[in-house]
This record gives sequence, structure tokens and C-alpha cells, in this order.
Amino acid sequence: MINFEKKVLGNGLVTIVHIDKSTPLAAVNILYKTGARDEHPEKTGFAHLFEHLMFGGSANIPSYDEPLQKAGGENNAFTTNDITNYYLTLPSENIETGLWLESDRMLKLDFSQRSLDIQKNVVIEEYRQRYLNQPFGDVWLLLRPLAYKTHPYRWPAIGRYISHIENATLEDVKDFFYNHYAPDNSILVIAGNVEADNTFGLAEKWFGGIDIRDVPERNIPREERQNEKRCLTVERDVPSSAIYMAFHMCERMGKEFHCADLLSDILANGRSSRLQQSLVKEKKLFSQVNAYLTGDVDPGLFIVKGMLKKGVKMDEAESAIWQELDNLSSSYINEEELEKVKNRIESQEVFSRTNILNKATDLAYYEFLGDASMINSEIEKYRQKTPDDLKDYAGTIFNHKNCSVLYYLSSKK
Amino acid sequence: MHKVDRKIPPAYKQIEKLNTVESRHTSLANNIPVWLINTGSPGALRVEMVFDAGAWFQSRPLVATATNSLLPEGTHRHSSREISQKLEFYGAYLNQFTEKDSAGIMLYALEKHLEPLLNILSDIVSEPAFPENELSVFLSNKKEEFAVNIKKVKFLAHRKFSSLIFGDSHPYGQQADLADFDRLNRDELVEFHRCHYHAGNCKIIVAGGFDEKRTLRLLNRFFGDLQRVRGSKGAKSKPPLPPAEKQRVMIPTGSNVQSAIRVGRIMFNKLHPDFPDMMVLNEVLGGYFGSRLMKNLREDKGYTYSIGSAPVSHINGGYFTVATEVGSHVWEEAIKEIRKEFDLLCDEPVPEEELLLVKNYMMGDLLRSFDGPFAVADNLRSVITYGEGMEFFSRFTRSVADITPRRLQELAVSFFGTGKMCEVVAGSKAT
Repeated sequence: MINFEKKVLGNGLVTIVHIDKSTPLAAVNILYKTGARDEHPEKTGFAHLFEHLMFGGSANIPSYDEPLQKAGGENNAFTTNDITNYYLTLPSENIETGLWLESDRMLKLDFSQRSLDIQKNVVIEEYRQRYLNQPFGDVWLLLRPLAYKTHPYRWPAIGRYISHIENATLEDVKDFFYNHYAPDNSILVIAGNVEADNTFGLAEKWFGGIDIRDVPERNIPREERQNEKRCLTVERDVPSSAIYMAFHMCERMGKEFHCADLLSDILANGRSSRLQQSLVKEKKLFSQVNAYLTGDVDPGLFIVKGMLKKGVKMDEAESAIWQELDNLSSSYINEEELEKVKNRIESQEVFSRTNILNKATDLAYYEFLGDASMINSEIEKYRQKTPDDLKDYAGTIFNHKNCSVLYYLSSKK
Repeated sequence: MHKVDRKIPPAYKQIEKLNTVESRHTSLANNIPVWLINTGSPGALRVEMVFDAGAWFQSRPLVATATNSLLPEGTHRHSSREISQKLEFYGAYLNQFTEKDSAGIMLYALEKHLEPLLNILSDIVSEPAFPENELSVFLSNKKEEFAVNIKKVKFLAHRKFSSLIFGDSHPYGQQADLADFDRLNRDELVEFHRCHYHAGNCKIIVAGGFDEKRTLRLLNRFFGDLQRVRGSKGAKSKPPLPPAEKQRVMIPTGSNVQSAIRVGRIMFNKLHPDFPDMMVLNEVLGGYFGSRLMKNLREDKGYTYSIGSAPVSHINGGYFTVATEVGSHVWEEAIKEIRKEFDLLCDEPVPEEELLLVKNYMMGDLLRSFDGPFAVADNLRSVITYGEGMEFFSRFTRSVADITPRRLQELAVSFFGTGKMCEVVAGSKAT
């Protein structure tokens, strides 16, 4: 059980405090409710580029990093298709330094052409390092637009093209800031060895004076229902071929979300999982297999991927996966197998909660989804699922009409 | 609402000492040393068994890794599938690792299931069967993974760098190639396991929230009669290192938009009295986000997404390395800037202001690295394998507090000023 207190400041900033006296540290997590899905299709990669600019100094503080490092702190951030999340940890006595820094960059960034130019380069190198210069690095650049035709999930957070990053102007940057970065569009979580009253007081002191901003209402096109199987074949200079299958599934708050998560664990989480046992060990068709959810807020994807062993034909590999998926919708999962994946989810949760920053980040994310107290009730939702529920949902999503397949072939000469 | 003056930073405190969970040291009936790191809650724990069974002890590549990886893939009593089903049913999972000196296995368990889980762990560690079929699946899958890895410039640069530093035949420098995956046989694993996974070679660290008495009783029941192997080879003699001449090696690849760079040299390990000071010097150069290398090559020039440096310590030697991936068109400029940063540390004392920031940051970072029982256990393991104890960290803390710009400069001159750096570049323009 994770206890916390929640208050909403006058400007709409939701503030959550979780006390943990077992650590000498405190964590500050600020979640901005903006991500790649809020970008214009011709200006993608913007939320992520913006994340980099947030470290370039703010209105009253020329350097973000230096004062934090002086106070013994460390920070980072990540951008997904739904959110941009900033976090820091520092010795708990120095918590105010963290709040001072975070509040000033929420108030106003120091927009400079030089900072923009440098960070554009850094992000372009990140793009190259992660997406272009790695074997299989471009998979998500290919798979997203195959699975999504209208929804902005069709591009990855890094952006559709490097040119979108190159073309970003200072004006675009300012617009993005004032349209998305606002106290009424974010969630502040402070966790660690702190006192609640004092901490809420400090949050009010540093964030309370920031004005409400007019955050434009989100207007995201719904993805049309997919009606036929989509296939894309590419050849690349990789040593072995791979297959990526993407199935549309429900949104994060949909009632079948937990079914999908359990199904992905039954397929591929752990050595005793079905795909591991049957396709890697017995049939020796793949060297690696995986199944997981993108877990997006809007309807997301259920991904099954496999790296083919040398000499294995693509259609043989694909039909072996289909057979496993069909098994899930044609016969019941036995209680013991279901119990196994539920137990595993429960223990993974226990282990992830031994870290103060994980707790802060989770609280912010659940509050973003609707209610921070979900942090304590998710397990129960998994527990309630029955073999019937899983069989039904497998039948709903694992069909050819709902599937986009990327055949990623080795072009070895 | 009263207005706050945002230009004035809030006061902050300097961290002077390290407050962490205490560890308790004891041993089993057969003298296996045990460390307990207990936070009292929440009924979940990690049991870690560490053996002197790393790459250092193998006669050729892959033996140490394959032995460790195959431990849970079948024992004389249970198949691989039975083992994984049981473990996973209890919500437990394993983490295995093979490093240069040590290898081990970690069991993450809920306390309520500890007894049956330790029973499985003991079976895995003492009676592995190394089934032929499992070995062949493992090798052929690892071979394919390897084929993907050698497409990565980072991997290529790292391999070459290690073999340059230590020499191709040194156990720290030796690299696997594709053919090694076809050569390995089951007998080698059986023999490696017999010689290196036994009570005389083992340490146990338990971390989390648990009942100490009960846990120790169970450990004694399952591991207290694990035998020491008689007549197993003692310490291996150190092979000679290659002459550390300054050299640059280029590894040309196909079309890569980035080149991977390694710059560095052989160095002492963490038992050397200069090691803690070296950690501070490294921090200034490339040890954190605000380091000189990051400021110069990322934040000022935009050559890279990331650059860092580190002293790497093994029991029988260590090295210092700068590592980065940069745009292929700027690799020469990048190396020039890296050299410039080495020179600057030799030529000018680190300004007091910068040193103060680095000291405070390092103390905060140390505090972070001890957050939670598993983190404490990781730190403990990193010193007990050297025969050191937690006093290593007190020495380290003192070193951070006391170090002066003058001392840093002396250290820089003696290690970076001798011109004996190896440089490796892997990428498309590297011809």
C-alpha cells in the first residue's frame, strides 16, 4: 500500500506527496500532459526536442544542471507519445533546490537560438544513434505508419523525419511551450524523506505564483477500424530476418487492458512462457521472441516480434506464431498458468516499489490516467480476470484483419 | 500571494556522511560467507550467490558465460521447463551475470515462498546437467545475437579497445568470434562448473525485508553442505600485458552515419591508493552529465548524443576509457576535442568552483547509489570480491572531501600526460 496526500493549487497544479522515511533521498517528478500525439503531422519530434530545450536554462536561472548538481542532485526526462516526464532525485534536505528549478522552467524558458541550434544537433545525433545506426533501429519508423493511418501514434516520439527537427524555429518552440507547458496541464509528485505540510508549503511557494495558461483542447482524430491485413516487406543489411506483428487493442483505461497484458505475459514473459518454450526451444524457429503492449493512453498496439533462425522461412515462422495466437482464442488457459502470470505481475510490482523514484513516477502516471490511487488497485484488476475473459479478448484482437505485419528481411549477399 | 525572488537559489546542505542500511556479516556451516542487508519490510528479498567464475578463469571464450547461463536449463532432477514453471509460479525470477572476475545468480523472491525457491536454487547451482539440447539452443541463439552485435560500431570499437589494452591472449582482452560458438562442448561446462562453482568459491548476499533467523536457517539447510572442491586450480598467474604504445586503430565498416570512438589506456584497479582520487578526476572529465566532455562535445559542439569516461576496475588490472558515438563526418574533430580535454586537465588546475560542484554532485550520487537494499547489495558486491569491506566507501568519501585542484593536476599529468593513449574508431569514414 502506497500512502499519499493530494492537493490542487489555485492555478490547477495537482500536487502529490508520498512520504518514505527509509531513504535519505527525495524525488521530484513533473509530468506534462503533452507528448508526440499533440504534435502537428508536419512538425513531428517536437515534444521530444522540447524536452532537450528544457535543460537550456530558464527565465531566472541561466543553468538548470549546475545548481542541481551542487545540491547533490541528478535529473533526467523522457518523452513518449502521450507525455513528457521530468524527474530528479537529491538529498531530501535539499528538496527546495529541486522545486525552485522545476518551477522556474515551468514559469518561462530562456528561449535562445543558440540553445535551439545545439539541441537540434544533439537530437539529430540521437536519431542517428538509436534509429538509423543500429540493426533493426528503424522498425518503429516503419511499423507505426503501417498500423496507424490517421492517429498521431503513426509517428514515433523522435519524429517522422530528421528534417522536421532541422526545420524547427524559435517561434515554433515558443508556441509549443505556451500551448502545452502550464500548471494546469501538469502533475507534480514529491516523494521521499520529507514532511507533508512543509512540502506542500514549498510547492505553493514556488509553483503557486505561476499563472494558469490557456491550454488548447486536445483534438485527436480517432483511428478508423482496420479491415484488412496490412503487410510491409523491407530488406536491410542485418544478419537475420525478423517479423513484427501489431494488433490494435483497447486504450489504457479500457476494461480489457489487463486481459491484454496477461495475454502478453502468457505468450512471452519468462522462460516458461508459451512462445519461448514452443517456438524457441522446441521448434527452434526463432532465436528470440517477445510479446508486449505499447500501453498508450489512446487505443494502442499488442506487439509480437520474433528473430528468425537462419534457414527458417518467413511464412513458416509467421504461421507458427498464428498457431499460438489461435490457441489462446480457441481453448481455455488453465488456472495454474493464469495464476503464474498474475503472481509474477504482483511480485514485479513489489520489487519495483523498492525505489523512491519509481514510486514518484508511477504516482504521477496514474494521476495522469485519472487517479493516483490506482497505484494501489491495479493488482486487483489483474486478479479479477478469468480464463473466459482472456479467451474472449484473444478472439477479439488476434485476427488477420486486425493485424499489421512487418517482414524485415536480411539482404545478406 | 507574496512574491518570491527567483534569482536567489534556496540554501542547500553539503552531504558529509553516508547513511545507509547496515549489513551483517556471518557464515554458513561450511564457511560460505553471508552478508545480510535487511530493511525489515516488505517481505520480498533477493538472494545472490557470487562465485569466482568469471571470464578470467576460462581457457577460451564463452565457457564462463555458457556455464552460468545454462545453470537453470536443467538439472539431474528437473528439466529446464519444470524449473522455470516452478520459479515463475511463485512469482520469482532469476538474474544471472558473468563478469570478468565473478559470475553469479540472483533469485528475486517473495518471502512467503522462500523455502521451495531456495530448494530450486540449490538444485540449479549444485546439480546442473547442462543438457546437450539446451546447450545447442543457447549457442545457436547467442551466435545470431552476436552476428547482430558485430553490426554495431559501438560493439566493434569496444572489442578492439579491450584487446588492444590487454592483448588478444589475455583473459580480459580475449574476444569471442563466430567460430567459437561452434566449438564449445558440454564437457568444458561440466568441468568449469566443477572447478568454479563450489563452497570455497562462493559468497552469498541477501537483501530486502526478511526474517533473519529463518532465512539463515534455510540457507544453511540448502547451501550449508555444498562441498569445496579439492585440488581445483588456485590463483591463475597474470599473463604479461602488451607494450602500451600510443596507437590508433581504425575499423572501417559499411555505411554508418555515426562512428564509435574509444580513447584510453591501461590503469590500476580499485585496490590502488590513487583509485578514489582518480574517480574524482574522471568525474570532472566525463563522469556526469555536466562533465567537461559532455559540455564540450554535446552541449557546445553538438557532435554527439552522449559521451562519457570511466575508470574500469577488474581484480587483476583495469583501464581508463572515454566512449562515445559521433556523427561520422566529425570523428576527427571529436578526437581532437577529447585530447584537448586531457591536456587541459594536465595544464591547468580545476577551478575551485567547478571542483566544489563535482564534490557535491559525487556525494549526492553516492547517496543515490545506496538507496534501497538491492542498491546497497550491489555496492557491497563490488568491494567484497576484492576482499574489501564497506570501509572502501568511507575512504572514497574522505578522498572526495579532501582532494585539491593541485592533487588532481598531478594525477592528470601522471596518467593522461604521458601520451600513451590508445584510440579506436569504428565507422564508415574510418579508413
